[in-house]
Amino acid sequence: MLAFAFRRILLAFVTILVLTATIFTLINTNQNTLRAIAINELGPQTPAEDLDSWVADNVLTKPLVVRYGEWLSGFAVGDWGESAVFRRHIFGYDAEAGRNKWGVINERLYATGILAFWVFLIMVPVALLIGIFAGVREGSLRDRGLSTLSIMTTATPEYISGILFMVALASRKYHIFNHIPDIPTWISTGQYATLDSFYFKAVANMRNGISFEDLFLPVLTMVVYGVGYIARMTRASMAEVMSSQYVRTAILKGLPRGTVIRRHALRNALIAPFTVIMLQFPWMLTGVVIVEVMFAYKGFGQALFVASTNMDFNMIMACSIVSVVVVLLTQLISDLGYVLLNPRLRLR
Amino acid sequence: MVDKRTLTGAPLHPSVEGFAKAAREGRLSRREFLAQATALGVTATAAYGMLGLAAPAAEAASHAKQGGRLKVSMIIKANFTDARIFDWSELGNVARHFLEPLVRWTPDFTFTPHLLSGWTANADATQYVLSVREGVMWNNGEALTASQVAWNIERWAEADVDGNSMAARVASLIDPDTNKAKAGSIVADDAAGTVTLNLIKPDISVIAGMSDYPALIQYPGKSVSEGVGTGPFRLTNYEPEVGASLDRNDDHAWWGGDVYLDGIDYIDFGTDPAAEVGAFEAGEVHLNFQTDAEQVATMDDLGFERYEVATGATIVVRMHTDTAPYDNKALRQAIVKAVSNEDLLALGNNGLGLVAENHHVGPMHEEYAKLPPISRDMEAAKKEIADLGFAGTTLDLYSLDAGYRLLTTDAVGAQLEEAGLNINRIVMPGSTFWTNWTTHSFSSTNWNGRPLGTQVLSLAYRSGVKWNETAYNNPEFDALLDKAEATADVEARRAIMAKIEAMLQDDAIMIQPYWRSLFAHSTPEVQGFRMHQAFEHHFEKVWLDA
Repeated sequence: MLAFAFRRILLAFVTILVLTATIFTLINTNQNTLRAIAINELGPQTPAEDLDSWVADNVLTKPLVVRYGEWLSGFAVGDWGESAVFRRHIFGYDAEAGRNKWGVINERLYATGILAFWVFLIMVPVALLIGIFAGVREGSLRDRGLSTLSIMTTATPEYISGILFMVALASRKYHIFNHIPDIPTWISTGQYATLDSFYFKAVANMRNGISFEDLFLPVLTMVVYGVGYIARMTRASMAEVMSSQYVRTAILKGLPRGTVIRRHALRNALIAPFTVIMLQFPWMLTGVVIVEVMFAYKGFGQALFVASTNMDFNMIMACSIVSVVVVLLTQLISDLGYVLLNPRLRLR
Repeated sequence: MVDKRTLTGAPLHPSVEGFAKAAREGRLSRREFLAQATALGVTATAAYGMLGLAAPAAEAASHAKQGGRLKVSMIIKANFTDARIFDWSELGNVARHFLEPLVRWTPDFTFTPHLLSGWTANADATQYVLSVREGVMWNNGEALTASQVAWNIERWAEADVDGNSMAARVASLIDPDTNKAKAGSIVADDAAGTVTLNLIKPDISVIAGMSDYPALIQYPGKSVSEGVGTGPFRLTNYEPEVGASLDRNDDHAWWGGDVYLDGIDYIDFGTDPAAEVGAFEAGEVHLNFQTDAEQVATMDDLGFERYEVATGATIVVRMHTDTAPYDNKALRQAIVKAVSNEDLLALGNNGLGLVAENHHVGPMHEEYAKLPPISRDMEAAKKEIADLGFAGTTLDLYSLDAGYRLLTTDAVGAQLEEAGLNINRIVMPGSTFWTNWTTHSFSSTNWNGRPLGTQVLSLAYRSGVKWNETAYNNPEFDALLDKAEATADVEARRAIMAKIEAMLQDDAIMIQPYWRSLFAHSTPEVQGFRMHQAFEHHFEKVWLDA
């Protein structure tokens, strides 16, 4: 077990090395990306010759290998450099810095962490419940209904559902409750209710930390998209377990149905969804780009978007490393968890 | 004798009467006359008076309410260090609340003195005397002096500084041997409070250049972000990609009188228009920087106030004349002929603007000469393209990836396909597009408006200048442009301009389909705001009717 974990961690380091070397080389050998870096310093309408001379003076000063080595040694000790777009240090705590003592990555990962926490807290139980209820009786009306719902939410990308939620829940004029009467109010006054409590902000201001208002629509959008996939995986796994020999035996020997599902079926049915749930962490990292940009939620995804559209070299490197670490870490947890959940693998 | 009609009391510039006559006779538009007369040192009131009009009263301040913070949605860019290298209007907008320009270009297209109290120009536009406004204080307690103004102008003239676009605006001060201001060309007299500019060659655009967004007067030796300035606000926070805040500086006596807002908060909601609409709906902002043409109807529909200004901002779909096959003039002419500018305005900008004539000078410029109308001739274009042997040739057509630039360029591509060419559309995000914008073979570029028609021609089409994206190299054009820039008399200049415009049309280096109207929206409580043709924010007299 320990040896396995150790091997995986070692592999993670190798992956990070290979990946950063690749990105570093790609960025540093392409004239256009180098010019894009220079544009950050010199402005968008600078002629190409000026950009090239800036690159020659400021970037291409030493051989590629030497520069990569320098970057890597800085990175290893936590010096991730300065962001060209945000004009701040990228990583770590800097007591000398003025207003923002924490680096961009720290702040942004914190914001995205809060978002991801709520997404998972809501998405996982909801998805598992839907999946279990659908999978227990395969082919029933309940199964068909829940499956259709799951497919619909998974098939609607965040940039569609996000806009729909924005219009329906965050627009004064087109708010959904402008069109659906609130029955008691309608009966007593004949008027549609103005439901201010159902009005949500479509942008995160994050002025006073991260509030419910900042989180509501982004979380809703991500949950709706993510629920369907996990629910369908759970359903498939549940249906398979329910038709297996030992469940049939348990039912036939006269155990109550609830006990069979809880004691015998669930535990085995949840092994597959567990892997899927762990795979949702890497998905979060890409999903948040769209959702955060759409709702102006200032998290990791939005920073990644801004950094890559502006060729902010240090930020791009930092974001790639964070992504790799998240992916490898969740895979490690997923593998270890799988071993723990599955007794057959534990024997080896 | 003191002449009340001029800002400094100096005699009226000799050509002003001629312009006034032209304006009264309808040869010069009211707007053009106002720009020209005020650029020559006439007060706005007198300029209106010469047309027999009363100057519009300044926003009646008696009912203005004090207090409140104005929240504005705007991109917050990095590089907030040195005003002369500002490359985005947004940078200038934040800085302008505490750093002020010498001259303002108003939304009426006039020039009004700001940190100057006035200026005079000699008859051939080779010498300007700038009078520094009295009683202007820096917010560190010192008084603004003429030599500090001169220090700024000298820095503008440092052409070797990377990204210093002011050098092009004060080119007539620069000694080509040193790439700095020529010795003796900037003379400050602190006792008299004047700065005298002795130009190397006649230049009518000096005052206009001093009103542009990088032309903010900085305290010698201080970076912009340190916040030392003359304006009524104080910078409290600047965080690229996030936001910027300014408070009214109550410790500082601003020369311009009352300021109503307690402060200004700029908030960066990114580039997705949905986020900005959401911000309006949520009451997070009062005002935006700009409403894209395709968003105007949405914002109107949601009940926000619309602001509009017709401008010299435009898009050019230009060909790089050094790159084959665009070195073939006949092909370029056929390409231009195949395109309908009216259609491009309708498809590319929702019809919000004014059709232009492929020579980058328009009716908002005082020296604009109307040429015979141009129109699309698809049959002729098809035939010429076929005769030249280009039928079926694949051309790369580049553009940015969003908004009117994308849509307009798409429409150009579609029309050229109809004319028998094969168009390979290449769409790029800003970061890659701008790395090669001057050398793309065939691509679209947006240009902001400049007060004078000669200014943009000089920036973009003179042989060998930095921003010459067409590689246009025509000594005859350069000579005519030099002549136009030395002609203070607008009628005489118009005659030269007619030749220049015809030359640009005939050389067919670009499709310049339309002039854009610019829009912004606000919530109803914003009072006293006017959309500026160069996106400038002037908030001293803006107030909130909460």
